Amino acid sequence: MLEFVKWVLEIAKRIEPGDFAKFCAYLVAPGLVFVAVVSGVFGGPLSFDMERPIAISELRTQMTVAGQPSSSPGVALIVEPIASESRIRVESDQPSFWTSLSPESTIANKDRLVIDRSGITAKPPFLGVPDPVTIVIPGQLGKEIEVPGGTMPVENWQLTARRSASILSGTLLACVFAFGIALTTVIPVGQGNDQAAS
Amino acid sequence: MAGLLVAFLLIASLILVQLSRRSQPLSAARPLDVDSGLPLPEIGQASTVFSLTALFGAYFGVYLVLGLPALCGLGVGTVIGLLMVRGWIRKQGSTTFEEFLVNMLRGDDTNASAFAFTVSGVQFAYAASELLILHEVCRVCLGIRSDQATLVTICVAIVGYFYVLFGGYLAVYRTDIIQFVFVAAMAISFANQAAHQSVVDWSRVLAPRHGYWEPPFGATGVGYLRLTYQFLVAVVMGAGFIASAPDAWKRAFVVARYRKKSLSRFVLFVAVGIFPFLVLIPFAMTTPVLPDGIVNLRQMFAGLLVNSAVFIAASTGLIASFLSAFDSAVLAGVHVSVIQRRLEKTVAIEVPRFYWRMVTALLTAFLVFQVFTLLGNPYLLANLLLGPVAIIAGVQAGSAAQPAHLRPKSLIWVISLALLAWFLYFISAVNRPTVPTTYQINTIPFGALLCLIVALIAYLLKDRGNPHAGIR
Repeated sequence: MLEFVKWVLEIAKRIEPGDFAKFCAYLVAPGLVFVAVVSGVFGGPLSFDMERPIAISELRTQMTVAGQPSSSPGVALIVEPIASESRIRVESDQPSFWTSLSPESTIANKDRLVIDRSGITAKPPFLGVPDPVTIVIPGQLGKEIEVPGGTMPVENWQLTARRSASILSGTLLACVFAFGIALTTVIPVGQGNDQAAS
Repeated sequence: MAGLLVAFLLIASLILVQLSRRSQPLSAARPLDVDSGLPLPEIGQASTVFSLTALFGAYFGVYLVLGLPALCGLGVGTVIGLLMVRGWIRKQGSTTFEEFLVNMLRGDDTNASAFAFTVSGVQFAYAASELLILHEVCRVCLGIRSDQATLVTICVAIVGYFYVLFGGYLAVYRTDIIQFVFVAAMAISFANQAAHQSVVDWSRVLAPRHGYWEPPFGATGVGYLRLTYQFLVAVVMGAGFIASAPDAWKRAFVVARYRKKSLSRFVLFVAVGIFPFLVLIPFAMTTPVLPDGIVNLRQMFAGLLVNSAVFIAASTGLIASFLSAFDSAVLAGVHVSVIQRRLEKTVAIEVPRFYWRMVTALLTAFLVFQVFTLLGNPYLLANLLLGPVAIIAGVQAGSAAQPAHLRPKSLIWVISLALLAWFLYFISAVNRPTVPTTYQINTIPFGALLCLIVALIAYLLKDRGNPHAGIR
């Protein structure tokens, strides 16, 4: 990090006074905007973490063999094997869950997967389980998820189509490419190389 | 696949911009003084108007609620707007677009500053409105998570900003061609989907609903009077958007001044300008009936997520359409501001001014985007901008594109009072809806009335004693 700051200061020193406007337009302004969004200055504390450790899907309806739909609230969670801790509020009178874990794994991870009347706390990765784990909990999903240091809206953790998420990868790739061009346009590379050579 | 194509669209455009920059670098003295060599301005006009129709949403909403008569009015209004701008260009006789802007702003300094500030501000706010709507489109139509949609929106905006910064007008016009291809592909895919749908309810497509744009003085019955009133309001709206948009002035200027067979090219220009309205018809056919009241965008655009090919076409087409409108708005706002500053103080090297205004445009659009994101309704800013747009259009129409030639210091009062009237009306009529509602389009007739009143005032305030009025 310190090296990076030194590098930025070194670049700033090399900028001619007349090129300051160009430097701001090419790097500072778009960089500020990008960093503000990525770091979550205007959003949640985990904006940079694009892959959430848990994907949430709210369950709403139960269908009988007779074809009669009835309201049946619940939550399906897909917990990735990523080190994290979170508590999802699910209100239920009779707390219980179904899981893809085997009975042995469930017992081994009873401290990492705890349920009570107001929700479920998960601390992945689970012992002895390298794959994502699915959990289904009957009950009413709350509005927020508690994470260390704050809360986040459930909306930002909901399961989304993978093809939708691929658009993010495409735009990020193009954005980084654009910043690369801007960097080579603004920074006097030749001067730096000359100094290095001498 | 969709992500790959989006990356292709953005990166191919960036490479094209770099090639443009090598072949014709920005002039340090006058970076935006480029008229010749701009390819196919008609294409960009179509993409930009499409953004007004589909992405900006106003035209689409008008069509879904008020049917074909209002859509025809918007189309006719667009043609009238383009002809009006062409008339100003021919009357003024400028040889370059910069000269056109200089002549427009030369006259009373206070009037010129008030007009330029309003135009630039509206363009930057319009860019922010595009960001808000792209965010909503990504979230609702393309199914991207809210926080990721913010990142997608800002990344696309930054890439679009770099297009303008690297290459100015040449970059924007060249990338418009790529973007048009994607917008056209989206239109074809929507038309194809509409063709495969079972039955089209033509009464829904053709007929206006009650409760919207009702004629004044109690003439609310169904009939020619009502349809004519709605058609005329739409004509004023369509013409107003063109008359208030510096980007449309530039495109009209390039076609009118820099093309051999100027008349036939202008006819083509107008024809391509109408193309987006035709696109709306299949687009609307694939959309479920829009109920009165709160607009459920997820339900409206559910079809986009069903078919993979349509999803890919929609995601690339909507981003392309956004880029075209965003870049045009940023560049137009910056250009007007640069010219205004030049009239205050001329310098030999103007490129730092261009850079600083680009910085201002980006930061303004971003901050406005963040503020309005907190308010919840992504269409609120677009709706609010109808007023300022109507005022600019009225000033332009009334003064024949000579806003600085109104009586000294009068324009600042006209704009201020008109803005005040608009905001008071808006608060009383719409208040601050936290979700989009169909009734927001009922603000348009007042916007049209405001445009006509401002045009009349501007006409009456025109300083006919000024020997420079109307000539360069």
